[in-house]
Amino acid sequence: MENTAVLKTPTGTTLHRENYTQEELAALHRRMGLAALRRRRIRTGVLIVLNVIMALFILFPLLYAVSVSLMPGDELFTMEMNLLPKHPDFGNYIRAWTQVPLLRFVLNSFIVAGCITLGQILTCSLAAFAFSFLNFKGKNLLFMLVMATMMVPGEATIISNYLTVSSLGILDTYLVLILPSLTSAMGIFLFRQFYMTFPMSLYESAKLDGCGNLRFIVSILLPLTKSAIGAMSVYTFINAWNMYMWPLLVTGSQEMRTVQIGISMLDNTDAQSVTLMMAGVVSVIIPSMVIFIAGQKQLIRGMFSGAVKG
Amino acid sequence: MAEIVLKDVCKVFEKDQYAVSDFSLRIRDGEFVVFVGPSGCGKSTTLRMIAGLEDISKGELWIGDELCNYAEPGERDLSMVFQNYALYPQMSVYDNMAFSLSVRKVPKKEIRRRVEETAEMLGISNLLNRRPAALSGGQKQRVAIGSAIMRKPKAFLMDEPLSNLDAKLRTHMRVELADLHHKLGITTIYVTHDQTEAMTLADRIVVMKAGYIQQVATPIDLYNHPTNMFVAGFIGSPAMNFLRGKVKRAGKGAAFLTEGGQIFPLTEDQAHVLWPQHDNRALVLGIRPEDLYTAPVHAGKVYGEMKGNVTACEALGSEAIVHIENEDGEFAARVAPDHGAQPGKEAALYLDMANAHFFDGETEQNLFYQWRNEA
Repeated sequence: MENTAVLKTPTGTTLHRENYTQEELAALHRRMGLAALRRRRIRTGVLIVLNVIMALFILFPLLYAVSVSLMPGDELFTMEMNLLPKHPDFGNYIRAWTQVPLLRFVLNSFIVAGCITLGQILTCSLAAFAFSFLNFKGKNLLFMLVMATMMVPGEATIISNYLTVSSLGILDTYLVLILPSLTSAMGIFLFRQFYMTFPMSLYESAKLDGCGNLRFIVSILLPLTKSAIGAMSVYTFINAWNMYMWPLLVTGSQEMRTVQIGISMLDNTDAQSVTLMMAGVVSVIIPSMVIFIAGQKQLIRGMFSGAVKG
Repeated sequence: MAEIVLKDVCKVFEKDQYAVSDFSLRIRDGEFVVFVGPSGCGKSTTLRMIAGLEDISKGELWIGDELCNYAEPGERDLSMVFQNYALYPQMSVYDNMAFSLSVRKVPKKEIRRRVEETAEMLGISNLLNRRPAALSGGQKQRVAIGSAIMRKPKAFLMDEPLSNLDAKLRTHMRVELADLHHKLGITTIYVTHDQTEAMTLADRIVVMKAGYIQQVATPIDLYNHPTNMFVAGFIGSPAMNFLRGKVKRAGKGAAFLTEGGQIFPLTEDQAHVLWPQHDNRALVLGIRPEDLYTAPVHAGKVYGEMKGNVTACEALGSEAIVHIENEDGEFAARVAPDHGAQPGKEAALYLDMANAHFFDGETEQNLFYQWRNEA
């Protein structure tokens, strides 16, 4: 094979590489470069349009909720199809925040979800440490037992849990909202999976250095598993924020209500107002959205770390 | 610094499954001992038992004058270098090196002095503020070694520390390790499957197979007097050539008759021992590649002639490896580069019979040399 490249000119005649002059070559570069750029731009444009359509489709319920929350009541209950408010105002929001102590509910939810998150991180990471780094008799059996609890649906235990806490006399307190959720099999499982990818030799090396388990956890394990902790925090916080059944069951007074229960107070048989409810819903979605956006990177990194090396 | 003594140490993982059996060894103060063997032979398990990372199922472990079977790893005052370096990724090199001392609550000033001194010795002073991720393999390994020597432990344990490095760096670090041991004189136990590392670094080598010590000896002794066929085949590269056969009377002396029908004359001494005790018993003749020649060079020596087809010639520059094949199997010879053999053609090799080893065909033990564990 001879080492001569053959190039096609736009007119279809073939030219050997050596036959091009400097100017011709430069022109060829410009022309082909422009064509490539145009193709790339068209492709990106089509993709963006498609993505926007998909996003609108998926976000429609949420966007419609925002839209409804801005409508005066009479605009919603008509035969016309009102996708957007004609006279948007924030009246619904003002009424939602004044009619019920929404701020108090939000605060309650923050306290409860925050404590549950902290508690779960602590208990789950310690339990997972024992399951992955320590060796003791019956370790696997115990771990299976923990995993088995994931198969018991929450509804099955809710009554017995209620009887337990009511006999403890802690109904209608923060404690009763927090206590039953202080640990979770799912969390233990997630942390353990994460720790399994942790190089054992780091633990062994620390042990030889005379470093105890607690110190190892605090100064080596925790700093290195930040992303797992982040993922776990976001996941737990959102779950705790969205709790409905348990708070409904164990709280009675206005002061102990969490947002999810509080919202439903906006909707009662005397004054059914969907627009008011939507205003409330949109207000309480915001904190969990903020948490999710802030922790999104951590969440994804945490869920997938260990999946591939590096 | 201390002497380490193991007495009949065993490791049982599951019922009657011995990973290590009756391991007895006396490691002298300041000695560099290498455990070598194929993977799964129990060398790493033994090291981990010494470190305290595995429980000792049976037997005794003495470090200095203390029985250490039940001591926590941190109490044994040993330090270990791992294959994957085991550096804490979130800490700087300085903090990594300082970690073992700060756990032991050594004053900050003293730590600084020792880190700087160690870094100086290993040539990593300019890396102290970096994170391990920003280091090359060789630098990581140096930091790992630095962390290990910082504490001035009673002994170093090294678990295949060089196997993650590329060939050139490995050779370089090997020389550095030898130099470091020479400078510090700390008892070192080193685990490897690489016989070159074992041969070049060790004061004494412990060859293991299937949980048992096969032989403990200096590199040269091990090479010249392997106690059985396993040790003979494991140490040396290319491996020793083996020929199965029997001893037969031949005139005044005796000769070795292979299964493939080749006859090799024995030296007087060999004939004296092998004939008639081992008459008609299955034997194995072992000969190292460098004891095979393309021509009988020295007039006074006894040579056995072996013919075969040349399958490959590897030119290594200063020498060449010629592979030949015949009824008795395949054989490698380490010869001068101008050997003249060509692949696909027949060639004759000459065995320097004085350097041949003889093994029992069944027990695989060396008939001329027996090693006994006196530890």
